[in-house]
Amino acid sequence: MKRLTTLLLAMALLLAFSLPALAQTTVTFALWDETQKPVFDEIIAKFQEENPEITVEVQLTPWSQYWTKLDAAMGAETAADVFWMNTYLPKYAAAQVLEPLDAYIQADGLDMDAYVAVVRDAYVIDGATYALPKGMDTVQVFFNKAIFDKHQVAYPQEGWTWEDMVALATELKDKIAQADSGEYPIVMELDPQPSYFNFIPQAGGFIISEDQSQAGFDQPGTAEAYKKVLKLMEDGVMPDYKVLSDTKGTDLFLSQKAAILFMGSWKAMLLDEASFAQQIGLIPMPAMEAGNVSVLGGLGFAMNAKARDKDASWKLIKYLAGEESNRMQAEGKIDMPALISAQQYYAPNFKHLDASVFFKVAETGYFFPTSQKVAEWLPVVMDVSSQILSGALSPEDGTRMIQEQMQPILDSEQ
Amino acid sequence: MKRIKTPNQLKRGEALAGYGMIAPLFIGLAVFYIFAFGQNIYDSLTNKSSFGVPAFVGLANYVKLLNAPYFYQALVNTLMYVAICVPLVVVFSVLTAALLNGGVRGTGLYRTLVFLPAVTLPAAIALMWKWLMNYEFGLINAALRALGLDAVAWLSDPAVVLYAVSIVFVWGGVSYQVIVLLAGLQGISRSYYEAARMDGASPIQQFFHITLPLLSPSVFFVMVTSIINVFQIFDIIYLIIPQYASGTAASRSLATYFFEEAFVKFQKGYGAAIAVAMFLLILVVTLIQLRFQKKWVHYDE
Repeated sequence: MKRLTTLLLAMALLLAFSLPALAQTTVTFALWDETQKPVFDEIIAKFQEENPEITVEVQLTPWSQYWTKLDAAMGAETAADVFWMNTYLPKYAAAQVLEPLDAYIQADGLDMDAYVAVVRDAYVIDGATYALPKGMDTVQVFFNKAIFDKHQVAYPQEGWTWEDMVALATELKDKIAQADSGEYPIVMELDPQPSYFNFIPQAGGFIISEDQSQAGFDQPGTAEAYKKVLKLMEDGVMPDYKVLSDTKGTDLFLSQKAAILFMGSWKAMLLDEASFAQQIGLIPMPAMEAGNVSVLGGLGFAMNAKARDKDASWKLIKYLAGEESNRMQAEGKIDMPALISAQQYYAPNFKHLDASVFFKVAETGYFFPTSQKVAEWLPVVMDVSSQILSGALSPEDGTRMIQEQMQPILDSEQ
Repeated sequence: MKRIKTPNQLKRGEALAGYGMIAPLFIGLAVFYIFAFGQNIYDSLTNKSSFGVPAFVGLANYVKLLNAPYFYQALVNTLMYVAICVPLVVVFSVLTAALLNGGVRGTGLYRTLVFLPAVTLPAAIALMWKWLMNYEFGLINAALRALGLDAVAWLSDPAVVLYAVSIVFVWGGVSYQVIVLLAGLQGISRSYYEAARMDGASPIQQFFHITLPLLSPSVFFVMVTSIINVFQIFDIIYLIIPQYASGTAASRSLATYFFEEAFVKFQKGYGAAIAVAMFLLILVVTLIQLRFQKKWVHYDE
């Protein structure tokens, strides 16, 4: 055994000395998620094995500093060559700091139809592709069958409507009150993605028009979405903001204090590991007037327009967005692949949850609303929305306030 | 011929050595404070954001600031924090220091306990309080419910959040000031107390007529630093109040507002203007304090 180790070491040494003979190049790669880094370290190791002339340096920057650092580094021309991008992409594309990838895609004959269309198109601005898709998130309803069984209420059925949900929740509420068992019929996290960014289009409104020129907070449907959520609180089928802003809805659900949870696929792994996971049912959201569309989140891999070695950077991006990398991410349970052929690797990881629901929901999803100045208007939307949902502002006044602040920001984009 | 250094040359040599010794600190100050301060004032006159060369926009950021409802709300909140926290920190730290100085049994142990929050990470303090004050599972609400009272949404109710933040600030802020005051108390000569006892002064009379006046320079220091600390209150709010939730607006301080504009919305020029406004505010308040100190601060000659 020891001799074998020595032999291997000697070979490694030999290899190390023979490597400089090849033209060496270094590509830097920035990401923000610490929990995903171990899997990416493995992916990078594999990439380097296949491309011994490229050394990849992974730079982990926590989310809270990622954008600040990226902006500063862009100015100083020290930013990474390849980095994670999300809904902020239009801002960077407009600043012309991202390398358009179309020429590379064409040269390599990469099939872009291999990716889920909504996610792929999210990174195309004015006909130019600025990132290859990494993964995606969907929003759906998780329900605790044990609570439904205990109170002898029927499970939600696919094709249900918002009214069906209110009826079920009201029945649950009455039975819970009788049994004095203290569960909440419905819980949600009142951040945009798992709640009102789904309900606004479902109620017939919109957040931003498709051409990104108009804010949709003057639409009756938009105000209606907030009213529907507030009504759940008024009717006592969902706890009010005091409970929901202090304690995450997912935590209430995990402590078996809630029957129905609106939640993103990004928390699915956590739920699958719950002690009662075999009791968790999964179903698309109930439909409002305009359907049950889910907002899709997602990431992509983008290239710095000033990358030192663009060909090597492209090789890395292509690999990261390719089959092998997607398989490893799916099996490492860190992301739901946007690459359709790799989706088969994702669902089998779940011991109890039926992950096929995520892909079904993704088919009709729409991508997270964005525009060049999303970093300026999104905080306004979130700030005022929290005041609407806590009852400090009426839905009419609140949505008017958002419209009055958001439209000028959109108007100032060129 | 033996060269004799004139006093002037001697002085110059000594001065150079002196400058050499303060150079490391002074260079640090110059780069990170003085230069940064000037840079900030310049930035506040530009539309600096994420990319590109910032353009000079004159006083536009200040005009925007004076027309921003959020600025006034943050200003009022900040003044509220000052009005609540500073008196509480001063009173609690003076009382605690006086008690600890009284020579009760186990003084060493008490001093250590009182000093613990000062050596604990602010993040740890905030996270502990975040759980204590949790609406659903928090210990404080559990106690309230056990007493038959209504639970309070400490971190979410707009009417309460400001007080919740203040409680955490005072709890964490007292201990360091106690150490400052204890040092001040040690400096008061025993003979004053002996004389007062001979004249039949009660411990309470001694506290008000000897301890407080002679401690006033330390109390003044505690007040000035507390006011500056409270004006810059940020970390506790950031850590315990959920962002973009019902308690966000009611707890927003000037520093929080600065952070949101400069580092969330990336409007760095505007953020710089907020920082200048904070500086002016603290400057004015500190000048007022320096002026009024003559009326109540007694230096023991």
